[in-house]
Amino acid sequence: MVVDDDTQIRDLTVTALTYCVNREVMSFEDPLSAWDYIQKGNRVDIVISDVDMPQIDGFELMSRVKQKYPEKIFIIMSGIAAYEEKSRVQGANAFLAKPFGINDLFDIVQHYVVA
Amino acid sequence: MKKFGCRNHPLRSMNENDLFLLRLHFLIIVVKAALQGYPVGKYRKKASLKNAGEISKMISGMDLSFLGMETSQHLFKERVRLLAIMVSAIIGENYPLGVHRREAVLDNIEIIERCAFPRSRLVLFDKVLKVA
Repeated sequence: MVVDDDTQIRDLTVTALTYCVNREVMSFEDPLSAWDYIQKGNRVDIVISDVDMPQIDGFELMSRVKQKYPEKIFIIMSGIAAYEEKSRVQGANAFLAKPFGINDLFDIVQHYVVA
Repeated sequence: MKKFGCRNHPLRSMNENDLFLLRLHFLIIVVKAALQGYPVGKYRKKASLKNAGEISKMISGMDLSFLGMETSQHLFKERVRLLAIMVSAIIGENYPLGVHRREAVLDNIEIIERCAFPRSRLVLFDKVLKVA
């Protein structure tokens, strides 16, 4: 699942990940809709989320997800350096630093899906 | 905690140029993977065609001077458009690839790579492409 309010980045990330895993990848422009989807019991293995978004931010989404589903992989993506340490402290599985390349998305799939 | 993404430069928001290079790199991987016989499932096909369509639309109005190319931008844009058409033909329509057509595709990719990624070696993630 990809959560980002930037349409271009969200669409591109979803398209590339769909290609990598060869299955449907869900996407949401706001964390509350994503949380609603997860809470309903829909299958989500990995969440890749931006931080600064309306209503609640990516860290709040991660906190809710990790509290209820600690086994889910949560990856914070951001172009703000300070969020890397915050991600580590708050329990993210990984940090995807912007700007990223296509190899980074393949790398994530190789690490969490294929391995 | 694992780290992916930008390592050698300061972190920042992604701009149109970043997105273009990411889409172009993706387009090249798709073609190379198809030529090497990696499986193309339903979702992979859909994603490949979507990316080819998006990059064709995106490139028209772009100023590519950030690439610092020695060749003309117009020719480069035509090569990228051609590559997008090749993706549609190879993956979308399953058109046959003879020796000459295959060579033409590879030549086009080589020139695009030289212009857009002069210092990078574009690799295929074998495990991902094979297993997924």
